[in-house]
Amino acid sequence: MSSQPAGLPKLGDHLARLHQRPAEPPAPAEEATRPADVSEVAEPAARTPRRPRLVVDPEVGERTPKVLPGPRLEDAPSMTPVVTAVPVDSSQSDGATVKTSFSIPGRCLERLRQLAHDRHMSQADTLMYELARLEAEAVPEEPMETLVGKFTVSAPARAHETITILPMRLSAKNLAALEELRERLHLPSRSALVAKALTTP
Amino acid sequence: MAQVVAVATGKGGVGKSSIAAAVAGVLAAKKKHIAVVELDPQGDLADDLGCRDDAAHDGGEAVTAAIRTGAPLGPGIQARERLTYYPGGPALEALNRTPGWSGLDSKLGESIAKLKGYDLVLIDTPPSAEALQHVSLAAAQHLLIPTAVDTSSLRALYAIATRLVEVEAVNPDLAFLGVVLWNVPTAASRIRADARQTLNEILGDTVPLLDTTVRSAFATAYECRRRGMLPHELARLQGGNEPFWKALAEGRSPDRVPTSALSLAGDYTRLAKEITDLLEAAR
Repeated sequence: MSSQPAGLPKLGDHLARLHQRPAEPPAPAEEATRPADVSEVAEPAARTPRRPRLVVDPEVGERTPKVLPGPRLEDAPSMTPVVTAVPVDSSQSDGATVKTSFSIPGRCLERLRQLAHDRHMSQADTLMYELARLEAEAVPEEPMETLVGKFTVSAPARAHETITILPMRLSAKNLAALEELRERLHLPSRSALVAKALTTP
Repeated sequence: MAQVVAVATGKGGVGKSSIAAAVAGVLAAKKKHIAVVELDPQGDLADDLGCRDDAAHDGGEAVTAAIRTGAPLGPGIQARERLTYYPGGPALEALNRTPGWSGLDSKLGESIAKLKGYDLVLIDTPPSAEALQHVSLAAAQHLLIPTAVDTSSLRALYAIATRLVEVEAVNPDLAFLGVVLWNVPTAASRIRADARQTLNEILGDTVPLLDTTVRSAFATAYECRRRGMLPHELARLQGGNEPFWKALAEGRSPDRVPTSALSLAGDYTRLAKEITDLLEAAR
């Protein structure tokens, strides 16, 4: 089906009609002084004709929008880069933020919601604020002994603690800062860091 | 000799000034020498370029004199490195209200021909001042038409096409450069596809529809005009965004750059490249 709105003719036809019309002097700036051209009103041909709806070229109808390449300034080495791309290493990135999630105790999630509500901030902003506070106050823990890979021997077990998933979008910059803080505080995971930030009074 | 492109259509709010400013800025950053001549009595381009309070802003006097007499446009405002801005303003409004003046006797083309050392001259036009649209089209070699997706904006294509025919007698060489779809929300993929299909049907072989669609990025557009910066300049700041919580912790308001700045700057960079390619092919 054609998406062409009714009453919108092809521009080429419009131009052809204009060229067929006898040359008219352009309208003077003062509209009120121009005598009304009665023929334009009375003459049906002067109105925009109803054109038969076009048969859509199936190629056009089914064509998906072309995926445009990103800025390709590197194609022209002599040019000064105009935009510095922020690398985002995630297939779920929208170009500016990265979708991530944290597994944290339910009470941490409740606290995050409460703090965000009280401060009129988003949960992501609240979390980063709490992390900044933790960064300023927290003392790095002793590095945990590791068995193999990232499994630790001394990870504290919390009995009867409900773990909830907190999905969140963070900017690549904030995510990098979060990772840096996790390493600095010798915490085993980002979730542990988030939980610590949200439980530190 | 510089190529001259008029950015025009018959409707306001469809991105004429934004496109003129952003494309000029991107090309200037790419070492091209660009002049932007503003024929809009509102002079909004000054906000885009951050030149509203520049001491050299003459409210359109120089441009008005150029239209009347073909006088040199003068030094203009050095808005950016390699980017000169000849501002519009109230003086143009007075000219536009001159009874019986059609704009077809404009000498602006002569003044632009006197500009030396530019690769490209962009003319930003007003949406409805018919005489000033004649002036811009009479002085240009190419016509770039921005449009939004709504039917009113599409109808405005016919208005500017009519102007093009009206100036044929004084400027038979004026040609369509293309139509660019502007301010389309990224999430509105169906609307974007429909609009492109509609435009392709309307334009046929008469005018090319540019591949680049400029996205809607309200926060970035707002910040750009507030700061007098262009999207690619705002995008550069994004990398240096200080963590907002540090500002909060110090009792300051965080000065943040909208995350859409980078994407919008990418759109304008692609658009500038596409325009440059079309102009190169038209030489």
